[in-house]
Amino acid sequence: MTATPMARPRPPLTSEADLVARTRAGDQEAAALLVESQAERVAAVVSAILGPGAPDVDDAVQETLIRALERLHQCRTDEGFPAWVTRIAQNVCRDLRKSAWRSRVTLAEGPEPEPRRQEPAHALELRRALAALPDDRRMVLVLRFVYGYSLAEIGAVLGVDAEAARSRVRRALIQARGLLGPGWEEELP
Amino acid sequence: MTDRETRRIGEELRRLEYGRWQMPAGMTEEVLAERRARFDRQRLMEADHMRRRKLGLAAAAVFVCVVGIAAVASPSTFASIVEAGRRWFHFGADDASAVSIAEPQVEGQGRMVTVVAVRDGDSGDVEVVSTTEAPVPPGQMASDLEELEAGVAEGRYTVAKTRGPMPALAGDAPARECDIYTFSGPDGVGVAEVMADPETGSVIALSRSCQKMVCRDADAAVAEGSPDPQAGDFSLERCADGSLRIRMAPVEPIPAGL
Repeated sequence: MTATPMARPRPPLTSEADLVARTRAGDQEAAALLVESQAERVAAVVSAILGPGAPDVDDAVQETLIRALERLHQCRTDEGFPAWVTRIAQNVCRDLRKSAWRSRVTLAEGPEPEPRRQEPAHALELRRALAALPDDRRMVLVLRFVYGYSLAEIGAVLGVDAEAARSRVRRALIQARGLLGPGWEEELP
Repeated sequence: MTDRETRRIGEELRRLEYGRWQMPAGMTEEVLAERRARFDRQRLMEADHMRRRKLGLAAAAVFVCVVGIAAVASPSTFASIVEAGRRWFHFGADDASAVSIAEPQVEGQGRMVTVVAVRDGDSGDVEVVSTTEAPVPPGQMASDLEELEAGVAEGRYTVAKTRGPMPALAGDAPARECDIYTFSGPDGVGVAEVMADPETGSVIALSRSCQKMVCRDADAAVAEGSPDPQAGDFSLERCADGSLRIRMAPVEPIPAGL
């Protein structure tokens, strides 16, 4: 694979074990740092599952972080904190999906919705293809290409090694490519 | 698949910023405060549980069953349901004009919260049309249930039954299951959700769509970027991508046994 994601600044993974230990000991400052260091990764997972821009993303991120702090004593060091938090995020999203009652409504007497911004055809096609991917495959693509995670970091999130993470990214790309039309690349600017 | 294809998909994903997220201001404090509140609530529930247990032990065996059923529908349980309410309302840059929410209602307990925010299609301003925060009045659930049943009988609503966890009690640990009856209007939009104990059939909580509660005589209105603390427990913020967020204040824990 030759794609090289753009590096984005974010808290290093190496500090997590220390933050977890300090938070367990009751250090509030460490707890705040832990929340901030995890939020973006949790959001990547949640966005990939619920869909980007879904109205419940913020709620799901917040609920995941609260549950993680509540159950920090259950996190095993050999399992890895990122993988553990990712599993909580997946559970939170599953719970949200089960609750059918929270719905979006438009008031009959309210203003007309704004017209959607026009996107090029190839971008719409890519969004549709991503939406059709299974959650776990969409997640690795978002982590790899939108958030610029290394294969080792994706492996840490998934609880696998870097080589297995590479395979998963590749499988996700192959499936995504299969969902795009044959002339998709020709539509690119 | 060629490396070129791989590269182009990656480049496009990056360019679209698919799933890119911005942490709302105040979320860290919100998470820490909620964690403390849940911890306090858990302690109250445990104390309440101990009190009930002692009461149960002191009672005759036949009454132990009754106490068990009462505990299932205790205020502590209801507090957990209310606590699960949504805190963040997010309008995307191209989003629809209104979002509504109503908390599950439990008669005499908790609180009803209704927020309807309308986005002006021209100016982009958001107005919070209505908020309500009050204990559910006596008879409210019964009358709502009657209305829902009548709606089904008259063909105005359809009802679907599913089995699922109580929203706030669901999690990694095995959650308590309940029957969920979802009532929908002819347009398929949900109008209510009733959660009932699968064994006894008794209603645990009822959630109504807030459409019937929408009030144009707003008791609170907030202009974009100028939160009014007098208007209620919410504030607005403008995000870098042009979207808007409405932030609800944390729900105070409801002491068990009230």
